[in-house]
Amino acid sequence: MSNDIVLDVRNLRVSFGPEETRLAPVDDISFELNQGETLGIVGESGSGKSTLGMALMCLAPAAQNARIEGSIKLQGRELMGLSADEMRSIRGHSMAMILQDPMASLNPVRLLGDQVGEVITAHQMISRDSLKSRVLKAFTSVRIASPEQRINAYPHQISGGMRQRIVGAAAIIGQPQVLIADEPTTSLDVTIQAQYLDLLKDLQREMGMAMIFITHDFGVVAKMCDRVAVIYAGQIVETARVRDLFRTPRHWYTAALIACVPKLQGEAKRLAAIEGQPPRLVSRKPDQPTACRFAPRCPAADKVCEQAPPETQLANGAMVRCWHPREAS
Amino acid sequence: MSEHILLGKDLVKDYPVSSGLLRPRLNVRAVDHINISIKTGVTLGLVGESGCGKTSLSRLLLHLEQPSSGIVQFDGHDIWRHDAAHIAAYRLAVQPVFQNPYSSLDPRMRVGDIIGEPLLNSALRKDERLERVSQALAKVGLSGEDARKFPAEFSGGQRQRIAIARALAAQPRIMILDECVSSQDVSIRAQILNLLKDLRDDLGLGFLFIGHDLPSVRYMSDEIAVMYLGRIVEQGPADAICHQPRHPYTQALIASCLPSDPDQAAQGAPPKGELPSPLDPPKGCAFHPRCPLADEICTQIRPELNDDGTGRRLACHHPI
Repeated sequence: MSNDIVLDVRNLRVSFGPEETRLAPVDDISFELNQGETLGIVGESGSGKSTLGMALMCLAPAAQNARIEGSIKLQGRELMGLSADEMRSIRGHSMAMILQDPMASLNPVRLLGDQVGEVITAHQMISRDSLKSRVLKAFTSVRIASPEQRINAYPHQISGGMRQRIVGAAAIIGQPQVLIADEPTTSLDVTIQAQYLDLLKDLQREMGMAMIFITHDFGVVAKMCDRVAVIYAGQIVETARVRDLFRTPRHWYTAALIACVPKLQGEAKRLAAIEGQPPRLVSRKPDQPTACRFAPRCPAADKVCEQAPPETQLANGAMVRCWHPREAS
Repeated sequence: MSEHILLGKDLVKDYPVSSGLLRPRLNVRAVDHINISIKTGVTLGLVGESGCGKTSLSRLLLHLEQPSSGIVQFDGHDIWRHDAAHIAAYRLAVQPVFQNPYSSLDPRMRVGDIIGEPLLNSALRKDERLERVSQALAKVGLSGEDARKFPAEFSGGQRQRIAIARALAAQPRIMILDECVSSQDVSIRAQILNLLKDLRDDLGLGFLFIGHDLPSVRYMSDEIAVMYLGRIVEQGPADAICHQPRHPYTQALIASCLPSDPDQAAQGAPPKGELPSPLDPPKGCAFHPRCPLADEICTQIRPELNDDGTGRRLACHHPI
């Protein structure tokens, strides 16, 4: 794997609301994504992970006065500040997205082939014949049987797993460099989920694209990702290579999230649930530091955690944001 | 604590499907000759893919649908032959918790009224009812003040606690938990699973725990039944099913599970294809089109669910 950075995100902040009491579901997030790599973004509901995914496509939340700040560089090109037209030429073409609910991503009254082909016609003039052959190729690459018939079908005529594969076809038909997948398998059955994740891995290998995988499930991370960023209340609390993260999570939140997944093998031990809820959004100025946001649920929290925790850089490009990181054992 | 038992004997449920005015009427067999027993103090897990009939089976057991044939017995009595008073008692003794706490709680009722509503059908006085409501709230870790609030004021995990409290207020003996953690985040899921486990042990309840996520089902269950296209294909002690599956379908389900860490090698391959249409089920063993071990006999003769001599029931011509 070469170490060319495809996507470089610096100090990304998404906020909305009136100026005096702005809320920031994504609060000062920085990371980079390398060529061919899969980065997992893991967090609970409300941690800001989906807002982050949309913000990477320069899509601000539909809220009053919403704003995206910071820097997003796609292969060295700054996306912030591009015009709406310029941005539209990037979405679906250089960067594509797969969302959670395929029924909501597909238009129920349009043919599947037209919906997938639209991604191409939005960006370029192309003859009907070559469009059709590209759509058929995309259908075949997501393992749709008898694509000739399926391009003339409607979303309700196919199963949920197949629908999500069509959404996948629309995402990859433009041969994007970066694919953002936001909980793409949450609405699928376990067997279909396994098939779909294997398919995404194969597609990534064939096309050499980089992926950002947004999920709450560490099982998905273990199966799919090379590197992981754990996000809590709008901030990255830990990044590490996936093996290091599972072997020695340094942040208490990461360790707790891993421990609360039931396992199939070994002894059935009582799950170590994280008590309490993720915090609600609070308003703060960008330059105003806050206490560690996980402290109220953290077993290691003490007085010093009322100060903003430091970002400690570790070996292999890992980072932990904690006053009392767990031992590296 | 006295033992109670909910039995389904040879249950069949057909749903008519009419595909047009002049077309023949077809039946979908959602539940196909299932025998099942749920006892107090024990959790039976039920796993299978969407559309395999898990929810249809739970609706038969809850007295929400009448079986096409077969009987549901509670403490030895056929619930479809009960008089009204017995049915009212049955409805309190066997309580459901559904998957989606956004659609299972009335958004315009206060939480206290939601939890107390099943008790309106009982002989309890109002003050007794309110007492039960506050006890139930306490058992699921919510405060008495929460009774005054509306569901919209709670998060998904708390809503599921409210749904559990509503079931508990009836002082049930048996609870039927249909995918009750499937829509929750992992961290909230762990809280709910631990809560349910504690409640079962403290109150001596019997659970039917329905899910498609095998690790969660294993965590909760003493015994697991694996369902495929309306039938149970394998049933046995939870750890035995997960560690040494004998039915190829069970093995495929396990292979589909996500690894618990990146170094865990995948075991076998997930099943090919999707669940066949129950309108036109395959001949012979219903799993044969997706089964790696299928041969001639599997396409012709449907295997019966029999005791395999090691404490589990199995329906397969070529067990592993």
